[in-house]
Formats: sequence, structure tokens, C-alpha cells
Amino acid sequence: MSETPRDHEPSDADWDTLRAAAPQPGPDLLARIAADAARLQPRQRRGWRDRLGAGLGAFADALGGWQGASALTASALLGLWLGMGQSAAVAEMSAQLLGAEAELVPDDPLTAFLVEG
Amino acid sequence: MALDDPEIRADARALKAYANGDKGVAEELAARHVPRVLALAYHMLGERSEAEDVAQEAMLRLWKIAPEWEDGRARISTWLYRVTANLCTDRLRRRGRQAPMEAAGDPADPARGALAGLLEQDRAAALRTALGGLPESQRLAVTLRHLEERGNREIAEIMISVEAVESLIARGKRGLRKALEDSVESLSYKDDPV
Repeated sequence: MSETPRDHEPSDADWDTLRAAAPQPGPDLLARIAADAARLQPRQRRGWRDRLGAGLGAFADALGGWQGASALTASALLGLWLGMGQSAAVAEMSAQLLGAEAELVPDDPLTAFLVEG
Repeated sequence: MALDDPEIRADARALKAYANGDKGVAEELAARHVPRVLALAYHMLGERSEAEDVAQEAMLRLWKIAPEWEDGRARISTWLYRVTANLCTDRLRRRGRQAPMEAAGDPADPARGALAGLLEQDRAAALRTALGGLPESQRLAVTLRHLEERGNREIAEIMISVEAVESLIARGKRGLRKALEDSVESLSYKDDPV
């Protein structure tokens, strides 16, 4: 029987044997890889709700806790309401108390300076 | 294998979760990819301890690139194969020689007859030696094709162009046949008893 190059061709079984001889990762290697992964892993990113909650919590802490923050917020809202909602009533009261003179006092300090000299 | 393959999507999700700080996904990725990376490194370098170092380094590079990984850019397995191939090439060049492969390991199937097992080991040892004697690029192409069972297209992504891969594999197989022909007298390739 004559010999052909195909006689020296590795068979599928030969490749299978060689493939099976490759080592499997042992626990030491996997532990080293897991340690690398833990060391290099970025810190956990939180959602916007978590970040907002954390930001408000820090703000409240700076004001002495949630009670302090609540009181400050209520005061701020009251001031805003007084400033915007009651401005007409204040002007009317001023006119009644001071008469027409109140109308002569300009709101703008520059105008007041120019008028009064 | 298309980029929308379920395994590829699972890989991309796991890597993203890792980058977002989720615990446990690194182990999942390692379980899926380290065996392949280690096998390629072992077939290229022929030494287990060196192959393990390469596998660890390849995975380390994956952890580092995780925050910048873009979905659909590449398969993680292909990327890891490419990194591993480059690391092996660097080591082989530092050695300054084409390292012969180690002696054969355990028989693949201890249940088979002693003669058949011995012949099988002899064949594997001869093939390992012949593979270790190929130039680096041919060894890598043949290893990826016949041991890692990757398609030519993926091998081309790992190495170069498809045409070059086909040429490398063909030349590598010719080299293997020549090396096996030289050692055929001591092996069972010639007269294989059944």
C-alpha cells in the first residue's frame, strides 16, 4: 500500500485528544482572577432616586436633621407667600397710613436719588 | 456567530453589570471565558504556569476595559482570544525560540485498551510537538481552528484577514504533515491496528 500525505493528516480523534489535554482552571487561578476583578471593579453606581435621596439627606443633616430642614422650608415658603401674595395689600395699607406721600416715594433707589437730589 | 447571539448579549450584559459595580458577575464571566483563554495559552506556550499567568493577565485587561466597553463593538470571547494571542506572542518572542510543547498529559479516555491508549498518547505527543514547531502565526491559526474550533471569520477578527487565515492554516497543516511524516516510524499513523 502506497503512503499518501493524508496518512499523516491528524484525525479528529487526535485533535480531540490534544484538546482534552488542555488544563482546566484550578481554584488558585480563579481566586487570583476574582481578586483582580474585585480590586478593579468600579464602585456601584446608584440610580437618580438614590442619589437625590442621599443629597437631600446630607442637606437635612447640615441643618440639624429633618425637623430643622422642615422648619426652614416652611419659613421660606411663608416668606415667599407673603412677598408675592400680600404685596398689593401692603401697598394699600401704606397708602392709607401715609396718604399721597407714599405715592411720591419711588421704588427705584436711583429714581429716588434723582428726584430727591 | 452573529453579534445578537444570546451568549454574546449575556456577556455584554454581565460586563456592563460588572462596570456598574454588581457583585458576582465577574465570577460568571470568568467561568465562561477563563477555560478558553487558558486552553489557547496552553496550546501556544506549552507550559501550564505560563498559560495561567497569561489567562490572568488577559482577564485583568478585561476588567480594566469594562467601563469603556461598547455594546456591539466586538465579542468578548474574540477580544479575549486576541489579547491572549498577543500576550503569548510577546512571551514566545521574549523566549527567543519556538518553544516545544510539553510531554503528553493524562490519557484522554482511561477506559480504552492499553495499546489504543498508548497509541493515542503517542499521536497526541507527536501532534503537540509538531504544532509547537510551527511558526507562531501558523500555530495560532491552526490552534484556533482545530483546537478552539473557531470559524475562519472569527479567526480573521482575532488575527488578520480571512484570506491570510486560510493560507496560514493550509501552510500550518502542511507543516504538521511534514513533521508527522518525519516521526511516522515510531508512531501508529502508518499501520494503525484496529
